Amino acid sequence: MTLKAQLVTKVYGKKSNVFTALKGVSFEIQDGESVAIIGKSGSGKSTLMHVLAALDHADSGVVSLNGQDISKFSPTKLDTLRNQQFGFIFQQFFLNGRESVLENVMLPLKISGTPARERKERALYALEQVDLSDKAKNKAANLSGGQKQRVCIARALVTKPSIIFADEPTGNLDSENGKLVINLLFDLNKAKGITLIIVTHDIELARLCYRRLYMKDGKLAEIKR
Amino acid sequence: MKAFDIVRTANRNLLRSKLRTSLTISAIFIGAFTLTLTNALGDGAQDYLNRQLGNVSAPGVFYVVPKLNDNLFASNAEPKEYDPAKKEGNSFQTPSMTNDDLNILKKVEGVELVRPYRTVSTEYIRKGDQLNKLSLSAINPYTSLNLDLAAGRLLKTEDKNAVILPENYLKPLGFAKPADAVNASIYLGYRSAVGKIEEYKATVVGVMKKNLVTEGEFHVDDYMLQKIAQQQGGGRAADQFAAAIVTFKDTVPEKENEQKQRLGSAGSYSVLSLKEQVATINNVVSAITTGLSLVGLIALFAASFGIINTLLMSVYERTKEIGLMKALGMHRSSVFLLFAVEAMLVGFWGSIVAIAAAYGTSQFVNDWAATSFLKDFESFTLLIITPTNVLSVIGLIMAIAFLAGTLPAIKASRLNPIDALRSE
Ligand SMILES: Nc1ncnc2c1ncn2[C@@H]1O[C@H](COP(=O)(O)OP(=O)(O)OP(=O)(O)O)[C@@H](O)[C@H]1O
Ligand SMILES: [Mg+2]
Repeated sequence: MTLKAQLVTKVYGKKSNVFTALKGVSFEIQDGESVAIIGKSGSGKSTLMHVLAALDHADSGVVSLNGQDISKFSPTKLDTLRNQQFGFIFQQFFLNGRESVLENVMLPLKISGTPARERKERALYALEQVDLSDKAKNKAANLSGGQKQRVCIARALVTKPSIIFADEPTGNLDSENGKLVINLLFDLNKAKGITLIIVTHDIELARLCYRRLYMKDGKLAEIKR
Repeated sequence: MKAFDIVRTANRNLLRSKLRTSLTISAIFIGAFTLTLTNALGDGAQDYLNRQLGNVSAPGVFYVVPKLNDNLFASNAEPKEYDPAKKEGNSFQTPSMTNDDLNILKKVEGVELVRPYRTVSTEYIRKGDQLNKLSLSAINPYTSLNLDLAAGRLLKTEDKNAVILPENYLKPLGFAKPADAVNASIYLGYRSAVGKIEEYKATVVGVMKKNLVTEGEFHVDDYMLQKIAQQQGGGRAADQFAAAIVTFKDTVPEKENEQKQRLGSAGSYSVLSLKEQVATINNVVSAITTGLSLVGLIALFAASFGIINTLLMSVYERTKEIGLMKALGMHRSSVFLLFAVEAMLVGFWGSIVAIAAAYGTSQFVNDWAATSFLKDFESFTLLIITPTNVLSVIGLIMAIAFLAGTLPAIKASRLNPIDALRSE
């Protein structure tokens, strides 16, 4: 799946209070690539990721997927796109602490209306991949930070997405757990050809990526291989 | 998201904050409980009335009375010239039917039988073999309604000197049980035209149960009424009666309207079918139960604000969760449904618990009523909870809950996932 941004802008606020978070960003991401988006805090990294992932709409410019302008998609089609083609790992975990690990991982499948039995099988398989099979029945709240982030990866994986969007996937983790998560993500990239789009401060993680997009004040400063 | 998953998830969300949910449910409970019981009271009364007054089992039978052209409390009607030929009623005197009217009605197409409806004033009643007398003010003609009998049979057209005794006269007359009175002889005392007390002998053919409207009435056959009326009033008085009872050959409910019209156009008459008479009483009962139901509805109205409040709180609390679900591709309509179903479940559980409680209460109250104030009304079950009642209460409350849930549900469905995910 090719993801392409052409002169994308994003404006927050209204009238006297406007803030332009993206000031005309253009680039293209090929199928199976791994891309890091780096830059100072407030430079617009998360905003860019949200616009690319169809979580938010661009105010001008075009985001296209396989050549199709996603602003032309219906809300339902965008929902389905996010549900089936994209996987999300957010800066905060966004797990439901009161539900079991398994329930949390099954959520995207529940949303897509997958039958209960298949849901469970696939969630268990995803948990196996992040090495958390033994925690399936535990309450999500009772896991360690590293384990929680792995549950989030399992949740992102469970729909077999083409692209995984990760916002600071190692931000809340110690270096050891951070490495574990990084390895997991790049294994997926290599073994399954899942495109990785990772927002990060972590230089080491950025180096592992095929390309790095440097953001500065809402603009793309440079692209490095 | 599948419907089943939406319901399951909504139910789980309810169980998450048990205290809050149960408080909201208890508000619903009060309304649903009241509504179920008032419906049950209405159904109980209806059931009883239907049995007492005959389940509109006499189509083709009508009461015919002279038309009251003027307002009975004539205050704003223009004064009119006196016309001795007219028998119109006014506020001081109810008009009466005469033999002429009976003859007119007899000629109406399809009429089989026309009987005068006379009430005859009497003085006392005594049992054939006893001398002590019980006061008795009036006897009535039999009106073809299915009376609720404790023993014996109903009156027939060909009966002569037959009486249906009300249950409350059994003991004073010295009968141990209803069946003992059947075929017994009694004497009715009345004042003749010249003021002398006379006695008339009759035979008891049936015993009528007590009902809500009266302690019971004496019903006698037409033959006997006419005999007493003749001796009592003589001439003119005996030929005047309050109404005529008209029976048609065709006794099918479909023809009633047409038959009624035919009678009405035969002269200046007001026509009332038996069905309408029963309906009049039913209307009174439903007016009372509607009034009581209003109390339940007001309680439900108040409870619906409880639902709105609870769900709004729930939406605020779960902002992040809703945002995540939307980010992961949940449609707006599913988010709406999730909250709307949650509201309906509050209504559902509230009404289920209320109906169970109302059922328990009705059993208890019925048992108690049967041994106290309804002791003498054997066939009266005070509270009857019917399936229709149950289903309509559940349906109504779930509908109210749904409406209450729409505001929070719309709010939830409109949440922007980004705002939700960015919120602290
Ligand atoms: N809803 C909003 N309204 C107004 N301004 C916003 C809103 N969301 C983001 N911004 C602003 O847009 C800019 C870019 O935000 P963004 O979250 O993309 O930064 P970032 O590069 O991800 O930062 P960090 O590394 O700290 O996560 C920031 O200056 C932020 O204050
Ligand atoms: Mg960010």
